[in-house]
Amino acid sequence: MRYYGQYRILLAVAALAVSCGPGPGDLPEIVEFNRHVRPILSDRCFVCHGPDGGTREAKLRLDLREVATAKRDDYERPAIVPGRPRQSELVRRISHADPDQRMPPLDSRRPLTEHQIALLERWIEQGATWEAHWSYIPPQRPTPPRTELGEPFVRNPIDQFVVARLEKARHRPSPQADAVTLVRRLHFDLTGLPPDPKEVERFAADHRPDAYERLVDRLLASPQFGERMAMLWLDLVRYADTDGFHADLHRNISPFRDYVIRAFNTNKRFDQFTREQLAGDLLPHATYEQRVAAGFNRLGQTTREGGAQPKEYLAVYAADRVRTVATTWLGSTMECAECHDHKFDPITQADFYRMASFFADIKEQGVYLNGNLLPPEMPLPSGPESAALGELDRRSEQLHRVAAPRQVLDAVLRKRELLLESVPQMIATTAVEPRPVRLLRRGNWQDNRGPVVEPDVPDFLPPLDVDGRRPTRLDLADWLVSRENPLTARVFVNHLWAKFFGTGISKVLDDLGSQGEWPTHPDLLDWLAVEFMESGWDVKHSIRTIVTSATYRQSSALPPEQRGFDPENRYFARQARMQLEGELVRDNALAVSGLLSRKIGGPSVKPYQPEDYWSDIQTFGAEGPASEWVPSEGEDRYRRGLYTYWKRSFLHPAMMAFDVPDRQECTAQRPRSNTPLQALVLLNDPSFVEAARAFAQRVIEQGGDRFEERLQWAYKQALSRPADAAEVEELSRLFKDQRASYTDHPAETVTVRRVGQSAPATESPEAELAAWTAVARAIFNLHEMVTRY
Amino acid sequence: MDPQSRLKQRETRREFLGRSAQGIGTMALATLLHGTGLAATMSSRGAPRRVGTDQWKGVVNPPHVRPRAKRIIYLYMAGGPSHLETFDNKPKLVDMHGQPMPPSITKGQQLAQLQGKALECMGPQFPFEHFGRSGQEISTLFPHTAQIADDVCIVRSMQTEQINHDPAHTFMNTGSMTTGRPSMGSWLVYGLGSESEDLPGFVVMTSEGGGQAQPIAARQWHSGFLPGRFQGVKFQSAGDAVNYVDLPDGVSYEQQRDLIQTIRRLNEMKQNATDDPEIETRIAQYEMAFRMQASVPELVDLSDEPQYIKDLYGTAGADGSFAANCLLARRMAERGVRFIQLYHRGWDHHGDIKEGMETAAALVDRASAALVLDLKQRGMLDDTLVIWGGEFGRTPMAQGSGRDHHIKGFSIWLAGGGVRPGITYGRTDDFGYEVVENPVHVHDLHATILSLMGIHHEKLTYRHQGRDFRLTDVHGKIVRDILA
Amino acid sequence: MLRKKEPGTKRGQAPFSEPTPTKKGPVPFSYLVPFARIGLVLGFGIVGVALAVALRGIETSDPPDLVLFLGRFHPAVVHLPIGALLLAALLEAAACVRRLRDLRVAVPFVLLVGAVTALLAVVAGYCLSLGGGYEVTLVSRHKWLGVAVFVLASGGFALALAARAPDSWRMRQACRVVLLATAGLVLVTAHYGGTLTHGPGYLTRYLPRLLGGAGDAPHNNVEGLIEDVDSAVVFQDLVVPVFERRCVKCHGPSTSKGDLRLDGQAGIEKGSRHGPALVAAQPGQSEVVRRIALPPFHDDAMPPDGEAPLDVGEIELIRWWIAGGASFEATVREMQDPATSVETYLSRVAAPRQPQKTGIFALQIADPDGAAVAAVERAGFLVRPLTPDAPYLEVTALPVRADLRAQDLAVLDPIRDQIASLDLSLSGVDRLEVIGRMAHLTVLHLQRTRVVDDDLAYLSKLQYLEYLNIYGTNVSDAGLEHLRGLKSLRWLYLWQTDVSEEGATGLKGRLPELQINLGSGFSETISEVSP
Repeated sequence: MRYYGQYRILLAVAALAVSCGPGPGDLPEIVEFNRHVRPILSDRCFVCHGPDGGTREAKLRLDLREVATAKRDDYERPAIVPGRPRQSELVRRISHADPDQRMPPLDSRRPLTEHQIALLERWIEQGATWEAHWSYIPPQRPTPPRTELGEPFVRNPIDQFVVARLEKARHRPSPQADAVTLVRRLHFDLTGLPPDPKEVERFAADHRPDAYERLVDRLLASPQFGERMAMLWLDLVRYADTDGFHADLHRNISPFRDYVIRAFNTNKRFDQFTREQLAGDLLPHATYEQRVAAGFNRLGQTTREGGAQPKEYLAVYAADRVRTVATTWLGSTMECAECHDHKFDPITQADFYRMASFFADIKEQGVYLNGNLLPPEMPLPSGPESAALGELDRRSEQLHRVAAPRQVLDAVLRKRELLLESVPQMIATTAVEPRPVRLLRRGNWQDNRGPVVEPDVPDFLPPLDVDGRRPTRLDLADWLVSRENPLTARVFVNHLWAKFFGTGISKVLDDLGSQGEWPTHPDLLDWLAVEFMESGWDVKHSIRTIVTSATYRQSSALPPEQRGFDPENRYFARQARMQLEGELVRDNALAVSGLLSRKIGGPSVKPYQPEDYWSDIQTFGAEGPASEWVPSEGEDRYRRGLYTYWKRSFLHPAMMAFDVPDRQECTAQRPRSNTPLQALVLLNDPSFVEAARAFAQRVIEQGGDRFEERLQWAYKQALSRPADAAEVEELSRLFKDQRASYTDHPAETVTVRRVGQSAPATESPEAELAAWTAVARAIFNLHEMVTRY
Repeated sequence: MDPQSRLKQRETRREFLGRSAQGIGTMALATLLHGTGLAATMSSRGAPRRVGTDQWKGVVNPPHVRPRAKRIIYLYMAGGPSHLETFDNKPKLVDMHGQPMPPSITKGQQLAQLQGKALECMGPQFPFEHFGRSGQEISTLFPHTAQIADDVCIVRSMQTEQINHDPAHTFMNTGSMTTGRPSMGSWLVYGLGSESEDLPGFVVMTSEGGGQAQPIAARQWHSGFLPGRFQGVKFQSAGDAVNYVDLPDGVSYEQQRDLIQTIRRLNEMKQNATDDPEIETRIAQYEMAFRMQASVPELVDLSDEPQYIKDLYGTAGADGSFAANCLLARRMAERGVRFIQLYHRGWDHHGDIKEGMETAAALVDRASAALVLDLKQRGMLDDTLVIWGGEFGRTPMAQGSGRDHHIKGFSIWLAGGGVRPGITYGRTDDFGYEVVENPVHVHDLHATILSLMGIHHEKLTYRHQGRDFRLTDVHGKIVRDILA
Repeated sequence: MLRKKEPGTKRGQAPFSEPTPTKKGPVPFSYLVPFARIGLVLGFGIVGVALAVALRGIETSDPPDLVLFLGRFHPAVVHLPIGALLLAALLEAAACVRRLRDLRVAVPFVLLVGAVTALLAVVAGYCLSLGGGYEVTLVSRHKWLGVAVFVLASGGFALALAARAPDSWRMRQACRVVLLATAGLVLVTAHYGGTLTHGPGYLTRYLPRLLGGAGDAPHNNVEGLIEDVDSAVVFQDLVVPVFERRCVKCHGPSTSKGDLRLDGQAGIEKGSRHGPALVAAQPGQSEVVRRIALPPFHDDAMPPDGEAPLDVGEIELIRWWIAGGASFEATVREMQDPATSVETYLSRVAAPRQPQKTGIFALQIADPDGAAVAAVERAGFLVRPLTPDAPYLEVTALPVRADLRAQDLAVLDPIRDQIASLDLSLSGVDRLEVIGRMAHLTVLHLQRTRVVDDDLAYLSKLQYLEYLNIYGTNVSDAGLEHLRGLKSLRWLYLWQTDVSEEGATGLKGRLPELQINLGSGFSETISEVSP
């Protein structure tokens, strides 16, 4: 109890420190606008004194120096007199004793802390300099700082930035993780699958100095790398197999998913990747692949609800596109400007609609009432079909060249047409005459009074130069990936960093604007962004740089001395322990059990799903994959999670339990939770039970003869390490109990055998198999099994 | 483990709170440290039961105002039941039947499927009468609801902003048409936690019948940007009541328990070696999962309900009907579930409204009233808020033999949980078109519901994408007139 | 007190006694001359200014700023003569004691100070009175009394000087009489001054009834609660009480500073000498709002002189009233929706919204012991605070109820005073001793427990119990006998018990407000419920 009491006080103090920030005594020597001042102004002041003209009070803007320091007619003093805090109305008002005079007003419930007031005063005292928001300044390559530590703590510039900051705080990075942890970490991070025991041994035995780098290169070259990276990208572009709103019906779009996987596997330059998705159809001599990529523009939710107003939904689709493009490439919360100017960032309402009008040329309907088709669509030929089509194309070209008789040519062309008609369709992007886009006052789609706006980019970002013609999506894409654009590269490398460290360098992945978070290592972020751009938007190169750093290779254990220092690991003085993402939890179990299919791409598949889960689905007579969940046959039941049929309104419940987003909206950051529903999935989902049984089968067949031998084999397969004595003892007890129980109830063993579709071999004794299934389930449910260390 | 290292472990646990609580951050931390919350999370092993280890206590602790209700049962009439055939009597509309709707009323208004069509009045299809000592006016189509007239507060002045089902549902549940926002049940569980340790705090059930069954997407009970643990859990009427709650085939309860104990011991070994607080959470979640495996089947097994109770509700057993769901809802309420939402999909009467309403009312009326009566005789109506209503109402104009969607004025009722019984609040014009007195917007309903649960709607916020979000967005005022 | 003053006096003696030690015979007064000169110069100077002003026209309704400026010093200066003159009297009295005889030497000086400052106070007071806003008779009396004080004090000074001479016993006596009179006059004058500032009856307001006072002063700031806030007239029922509480003593019938009266519609509409008190619908332009919202140390702040400022709720209320048009008739319901702070204020004055001040909430109860609460939670109970602002707890046994037995309730004993709501439903609890000690219990759920008739005896002392649920138990009519004394009981749930209709009716006879629920079902026909 005594400890308890002291501890409680400590905690309270810690909580205070966390919640109130440092006391006024800890003011920085030099107050920086972006780091210290902007967050305060943005969070507490911009609502009324910011970029949004609609709610601006007293004509005061604190986001612009010239307004904030201007002489005023209505007040004796300017809001801010640089160098003279006591002469500044702002200082007087934020520290005013009278609640009526004090800013922010009482009813905003957002008082400034003493520390914040002191910061603002000191900032004014030091001259009140404004800076453009950090993420709006184009990144320059910073020189990596010198560090006291050398190898092995410092291997590349990333480590210099991280270690320098740590040294400033008088802390040290963690030691390198052991070989097994490293090889598992790399496998999960780069392929999403566990390492084969042979791979672990090979790495452990490889004593060449570049053994680690070789492993990284092997994994970057594996076809699973593209699948792994696609998970990140598909969340952002909200890829799904259904249209989302209302009845949430099926549409064909899976080639887009495969395009993304291929793009990462072939290391397509990110700038080209961007161009193809936003404007693949507008590229000169657009290839089939580029037109598939342009399917990005049709990924948003659409409606087929009777009574829905096309005009309203066109506005909804437009807003959704702006949200997605702004979040994915610009890390900006542009959606705030749908109804009014942005409260915190210099994004005007007009900017929102200008951005929307880039997409006004896309051929689409507000409401799709014609059955299953979502025009416009494009043919989606299978392998042989596309080969046949190619053959026909060649023939017709040939015939053209030799000026063959008209009838022959026509016959070939007709044949081609017929073939095309029989081929399934994929929704596609087709450009038409752009429809006019109006600024909708207060976001109200019924209000026709707003001006018609032309496509353009926000003022505060580099201008878009198109020589007076109407800019297109292609221009937008070019602008996004131009060297001058300050955001795109930063946003993407920040995503990568979060993928490999659990937290971004700037924590709020979807908002690098005012309300986002100041990056913990701004120089590192800029260095990575510049490196990314200057390497030719080379994704694999950036990933390689990150994962070969010593920072990445650190142990994820929390050293005692870091406990009070950095609980959130914002210094990156250790690696993060992360729960595997939802898709990977199942991929991992399937891979260990040997059931996993390594087939890449193709239409989405349907693994086991609880009956009745789709009972609230109403299809209105529309047929197709969205109406009924019929489990896939054969290897399609054991495909990786990213191929699971993505129904937005009823995503597969096992994935839902593991925080996989339903992709109704662009998702930059998945939450990570730890719930009883996850336990139920791992314990009882037939997918996992079947995987356990299949694993049990493998254990019996390949693991040796004795129990312990088999168990060690199983541990190597599942966890890449041997079981220790206590674990052996515990599992051996479980095994004996279960075997005894199954021997007494042989009927149950038959039932265990029947779970799932894969046929177990019949040689092994029934009770033995059932009991090993229980042991396998125990292993599959371990925290260690669903965690990347 | 010696006390010292156990302490250390707790310490680590605390440090990671921000992580395990998924960005709930300092607010939750402060709440957890505050008074009872601290004690609860601090108690750990050694106690006879591992109670409260990872039980979410909610961020609103103590309450902002004195709570009047502890739980909510929301009878959600999906499809948009007509207010003109339920609770809003319009004698004048009877006289106007078949005549053109005055253009002054409908001019420039948003309509759904009637957009651009000739608009003709349609009189109420069923007579109204006064019921109870309070003399509330209710359609004779609802004879059982009529018998609880003195217990309900009828609101005739509801307003919403979305005219089509899907967005209107989203708006009613999340206060926004934009997808990705938390639903009100998620907000409540986030704010208050659950009373039950072996059932989810937010449960959803569905039934259908009586009209076109419009789809209901899982986003209606989604936790949006709140952590997944606050998501509603849908109980299925067939198969496992809760997904994956049933034991795998060929595994007995004892075997499962044995397995879970093994998993626990193995996880503990790893925890002792690595000092990972997430493992402790994982262990607790497995225990709760195991308890759910026992409690959920017990909950949905209606065989221990006496026949006269089944008769009261009008159900034979758990058959997925609305009546069975109402009975289950009562059982969940008794077991501490915070927010229970029963969707009945069957009120979208674009045509044949007379027959459709008759069918739907027959499926819903008796059980809704029975639920109120049953709660009352168990002394639970005092702290259980029951809400009955849809996402919108229907037009006074005919759409053939039915009515179109209508958002400018519609009716709901509330009972128990601190709501003033036996009153009718708000009024629509003679056509039942526009609210002319005491409008209650969806945001106001949300503010009122939260207030009854002890939460001030402006104070329950969550930071997402740099902004503090709340259920009522920037709107909402508490409808004090309907509070007891 | 006197003993304590001795050393102080000795220290204080130094400047006086060293040049001419008092013990050595008659004392020349030369040392007082410079003081007297300064005093005279100052006094005449001020009198001169005052006269000049008076000559410029006392009738002028708009006295020059200098005059008003000087007037503001009255409250500050006035306490100097009061203190000095009373001290002089006290010194003189103390000097009667032999051992303290030396104190006498200070009397002339203190009197001089008193006289000079009295003059200053009179002049400043006169200036202040020119500013107007005071009840004329009162001011006149106060003024002449003040002059009298000055005259007497001056006389006293002269006598005190004279009494210094040897064998001046008569002078000494005369001086004492004058000093006594001065002191009395000071008190009377001061009382009038107080009445001017704080309003009539100010002094006696809190005089206990026993001593003949009215004893009707409100004992805290809470006014009589308003039954139905929504129908309350904003001005009359909400704003006026604030004005009366905080403003009317200076801006009312007896004193109307700045010619402003806030005690009714007429005065408010008329406004002050300086202009309108408020601008309807424009709180920002309204003087009254500006003044009350200023920080307390601001010159223009109201109430002035370091009085506690109005609280946020009061300020917001007035602002809200003005913003809504400053109507004298509008009710709360007719006004714009109040902001949260106003809502809070309304809930403070509204009777139905203040349940926390009745029943157990009127009691002073200590906060629950944290360790005891922790123990209860460890035992598996859910514990939540009942309200945001009271120490009461709601305890639910829901998570553990299947295993709960009577002996497990012992853990609740340390927080028995704080438990206001307890839910043990569906548990195995039977004996209820611990519950019987929970003096502040208002809600008790015992439905479907093993409770029997005799157990209810434990509940017979729970005077605050309002809600009791024992449905589904084996309680019978005999058990209800124990509940006959529960005066607060309003809701009793007896469905599925052995209680008969007669038993229930019998209890209801004793507790007429009690609602008993014996279970309910649907009527067979609808017509039965139709009126």
